[in-house]
Amino acid sequence: MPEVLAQLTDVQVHFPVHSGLLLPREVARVRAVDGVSLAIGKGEVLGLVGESGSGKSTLGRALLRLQDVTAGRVHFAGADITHWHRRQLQAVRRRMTVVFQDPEASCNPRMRIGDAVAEPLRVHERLTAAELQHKVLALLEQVGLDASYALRWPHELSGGQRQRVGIARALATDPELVVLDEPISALDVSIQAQVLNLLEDLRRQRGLSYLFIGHDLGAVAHLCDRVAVLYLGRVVEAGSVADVIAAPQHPYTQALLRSVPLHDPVAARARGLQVLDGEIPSPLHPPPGCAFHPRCRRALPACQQNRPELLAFGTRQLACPVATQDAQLPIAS
Amino acid sequence: MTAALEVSALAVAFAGDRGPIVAVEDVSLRVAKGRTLCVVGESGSGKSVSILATMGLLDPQRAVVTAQTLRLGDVDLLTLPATQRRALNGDRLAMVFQDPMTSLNPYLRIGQQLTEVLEVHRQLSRQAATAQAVAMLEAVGISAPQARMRAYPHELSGGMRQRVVLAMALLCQPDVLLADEPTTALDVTIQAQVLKLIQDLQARNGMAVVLVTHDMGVVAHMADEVAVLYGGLVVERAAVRDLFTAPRHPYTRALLASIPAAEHRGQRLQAIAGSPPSPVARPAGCVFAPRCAFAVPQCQAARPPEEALADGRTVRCFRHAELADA
Repeated sequence: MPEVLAQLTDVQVHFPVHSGLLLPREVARVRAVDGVSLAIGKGEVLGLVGESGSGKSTLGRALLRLQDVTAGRVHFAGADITHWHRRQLQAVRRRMTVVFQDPEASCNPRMRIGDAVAEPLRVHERLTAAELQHKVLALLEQVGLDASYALRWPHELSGGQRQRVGIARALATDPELVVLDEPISALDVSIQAQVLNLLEDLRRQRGLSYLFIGHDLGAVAHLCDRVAVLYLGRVVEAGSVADVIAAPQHPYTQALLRSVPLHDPVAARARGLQVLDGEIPSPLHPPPGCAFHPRCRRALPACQQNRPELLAFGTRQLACPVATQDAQLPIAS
Repeated sequence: MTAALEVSALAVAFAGDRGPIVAVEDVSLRVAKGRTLCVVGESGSGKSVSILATMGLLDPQRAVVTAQTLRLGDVDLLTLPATQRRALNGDRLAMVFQDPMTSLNPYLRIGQQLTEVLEVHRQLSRQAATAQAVAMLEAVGISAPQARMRAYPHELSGGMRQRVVLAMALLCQPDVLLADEPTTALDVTIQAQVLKLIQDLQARNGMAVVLVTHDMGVVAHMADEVAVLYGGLVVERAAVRDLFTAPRHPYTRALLASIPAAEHRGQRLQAIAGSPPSPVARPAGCVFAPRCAFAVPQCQAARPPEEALADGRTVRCFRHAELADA
């Protein structure tokens, strides 16, 4: 594994639920992220997959320190930034940036494209007007938009072009890490491939690290080096794409992958639609034991009581004693 | 065999500040009883507008809709008075949208919204309607249907809401179900549940399904036939296996080639350059020519006609024959 750039250690993000008008008191807790450890190496792409409500986006926000953690540590470039204040974070913010799902939401409708890309530079760097213009045009060119786009308004651009602007903005301050939160989900199929290629090119040119949050497992398999599968705020399986996507061991990863439609009508008819029953439980009332046991076909009585630990097996991490036993995985020393 | 739904030469234009905006130029769709037609296309291809026009749901003040044929079984929708046509919607012709909240009233309990359908279309009593609604909720896989009848839409998850909308659409046992991206907003796991449900219900009541989607995986699982829309035109129509094994239109080929998959890891994806045409600046020639890797001058000059091939498919491309041999 390459040198670690960013790291989450046993991170929990809980949202308290209050009740009472005059004397509000905490009545419950939404455990959005409940003890997650992840590391992203320099130049590495880590994929984060899971259904809505699994805590993917909250985890991304915690890594960026856009969301305070309830417990655990956040490290970036060797520094423990868990409790850094706004002013301290300013220096880190330019080194880790984010691209959101909805390109509409990341473009101010009253700001020209050039100004939108220049904004992070105005905040973080002191450049002359000429330097600023030069840099903005270079960034636009890097994401495949020519100089004429600098003077256009967001509404004049298509969804794919706006997402390119979002990427240019995220790259403006020469970050080392970019959190990509479902960056292609809102785009048309023919445009998704363009943006995936662009992200891959930029990573090569700039040696970037990505945290790629997505539910399109095909795109994750294409772009990522490693994958972590999240279920109800916990990692259930993690490892290389070859391990997790090609040879999944956790019953949830297996079910998730089987839910993905096949792109071949003959194979699709032969296999049929593979349905995982039920829905992800509410993080307000997580089931006891393994959170997946109510939907798991391989669950044993013990799964209802004991919460499985995430254990390392070679390069793979797995939180399922049943799968571990069946696959006879050797425990890493 | 007579089609459950037949649409031919459908065209839709909206009034714009600078002249009419052509959303649909020439779309023909046909689906038989018990079969599934998938309509594939990206945003702006005219797929949703085609469906809305088929339902007669476009505002006549703003949209000019013309068609050669618009038939629901033996009923000619073109000559049918507006009130009678309206009465068919939700009865013999049902629709499901992408966002279930489009169809659900947030202020009304699920039960009231379901029974209303039967009271309007079937003149059932409240009691009889309630019994049928509960049975239908059960059929779409909602547990404790009695209790769910009293729930408000916000108390249900997205997948549950889409099931309720499906139940509502199917209450009158429609001949044709039009589903516009019914699973796009859902997780893959819930998508598989809803698609399976549509398959099961179709097997049970033999309805025809028109499924609008942009996901070729959904097409591979669901379709008997596929119509590929681009820029307001059906550029290719084929049986599902033919389309996947031997796509004839360059757009269909490019679309299939651009799908990321684990097998192609490390390779560049074959992206389609450029963006779909804007409805206010439509190309003079083939609508796909500006993005087509195989375009020749002829493609820029004239619109290729829809050509019927021997195996029953249609394709709109001047060069499809020579490209197929290449």
